[in-house]
Amino acid sequence: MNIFIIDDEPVFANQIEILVNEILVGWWMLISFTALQMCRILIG
Amino acid sequence: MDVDKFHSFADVSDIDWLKYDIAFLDMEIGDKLGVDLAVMIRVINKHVLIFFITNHHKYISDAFKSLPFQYLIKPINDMEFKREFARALDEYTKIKSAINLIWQKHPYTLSILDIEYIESINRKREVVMNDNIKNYTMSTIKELDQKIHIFGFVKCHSSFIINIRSIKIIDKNTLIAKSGKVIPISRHCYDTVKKAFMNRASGGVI
Repeated sequence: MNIFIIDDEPVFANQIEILVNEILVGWWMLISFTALQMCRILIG
Repeated sequence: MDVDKFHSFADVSDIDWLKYDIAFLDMEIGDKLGVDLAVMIRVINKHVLIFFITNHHKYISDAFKSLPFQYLIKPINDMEFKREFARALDEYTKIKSAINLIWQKHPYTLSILDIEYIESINRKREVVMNDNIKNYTMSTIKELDQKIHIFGFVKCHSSFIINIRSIKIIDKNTLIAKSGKVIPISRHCYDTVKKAFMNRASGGVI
């Protein structure tokens, strides 16, 4: 997942970057947890 | 996973646009327009989800050319941003999804969102891609519908499944896909197809 941000006002670019990172951390945890559960099911 | 941040057009002159999945563009960047950048990105990268971050309503009609995912108004509301970004992540997951099919004992994989429509012809199913390349499978329309329904596909006829993103116009008995293909809509499917199309057009989650 690669994200591009362009804004000539640094305050908005920074706000977007912070919000994106905040959400992506939770999203990756969810994806990882789901993958782990799938592995557990497959391994039995 | 990378977040690349820029403040001017000069910084992005030699960027590999294909690597990006989501792009946030200010509408006015110095003396340049984010709309022009978006159109250029879209030519190179058909799948990137583009957000316009703007307080310039005057450019919104021009911005449609680049098929943006959403507009967000400055000052950015954190809750609104999180809701729309979560929706983009959901769409990203769908874009990256693939379906495994078999034809004449040979398995193959297709990117689900590159499928324009599926048509049942005699005993086989023809899977037509956005670039008009045709693939085949013996899976039934019902089986395929169950697999790809959640990715924004809808059964519009006993012999057809359409990618909602590929619908250009809906009529009472037919729809026209972006490729120009005219596909029948059966009477009992009409409400479902129309609802899905309207939901998509208004930016709702499929």
